[in-house]
Amino acid sequence: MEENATKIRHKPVSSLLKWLINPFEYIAGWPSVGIGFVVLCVTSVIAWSGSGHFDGVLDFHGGKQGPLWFALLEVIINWLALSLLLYFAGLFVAKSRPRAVDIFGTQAVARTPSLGVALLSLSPPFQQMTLQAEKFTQGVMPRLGMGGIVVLVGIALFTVWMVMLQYRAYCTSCNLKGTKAALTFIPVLILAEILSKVLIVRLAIYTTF
Amino acid sequence: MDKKINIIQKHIPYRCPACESQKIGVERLRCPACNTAIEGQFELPPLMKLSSEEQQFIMFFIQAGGSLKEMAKIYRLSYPTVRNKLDDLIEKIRLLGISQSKPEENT
Repeated sequence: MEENATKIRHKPVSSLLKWLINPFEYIAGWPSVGIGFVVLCVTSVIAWSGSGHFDGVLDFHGGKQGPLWFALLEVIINWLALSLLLYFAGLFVAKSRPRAVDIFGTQAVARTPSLGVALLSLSPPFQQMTLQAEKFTQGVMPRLGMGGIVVLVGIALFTVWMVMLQYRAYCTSCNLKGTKAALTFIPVLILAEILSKVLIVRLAIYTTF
Repeated sequence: MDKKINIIQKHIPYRCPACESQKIGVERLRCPACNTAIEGQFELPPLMKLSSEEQQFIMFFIQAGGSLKEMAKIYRLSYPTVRNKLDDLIEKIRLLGISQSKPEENT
């Protein structure tokens, strides 16, 4: 192609919105694998620094701080569990064969909102809730203040955003729309959550703690 | 170096603006060089039944040598997004009933 080949110009405002709602129109493949992997690691480290960890595809908990390598393995298991199941689903339902690198890469990038969850977990209200939750087993009832409510709502919103991105990533990578996309994504998400929990629990059993 | 941006300003309608039918055709052609007019019933070529954006996509696809990676660079979109556009276009061409007969051999 010539150096001055025609380029399609996109409107800046709509492009910005699309980056938030469906960035996978612009990024997929190996670049998304690289960026997504960095996001996963950074998210895990930030959460670990506040004694939090992502112990499932959709889960996040605070508590006793385990080793960093375990927290990193957890996010990788979460990423791989969902990506692998979505890839197999895509092979069955997509019209054209999806590329594995697109599914794995976009699913990694889709976990970017979990960075918000990790940051919120460092906040004093969340740390306080974690301490209160530990005392709950000793019969002490937890008290949820306004700060705690705000943090929980924030975590819920980031989680919803993450699931929306995971769905968009799946639709873009497999060219699926509407009912077919939703009816395959939801069961796969649930299965991936179960699979990630099973794998993480087994990993915890077979390691030092 | 100046970068040229193609902006399509006029296009032949491929749907009737009154009833949305895609059976719209051409009844009159005129040559501006000699002012000759030709009247009749002319069916739009298959590619003309696509929107201007879809025709542009096909033109770029051919210019890119059928490379979806090149198309992704032109459109500044991801590879799967461009592939999805191509898949949707293939489906639309199939639904339009555009003939898939083999090209005639030259004798």
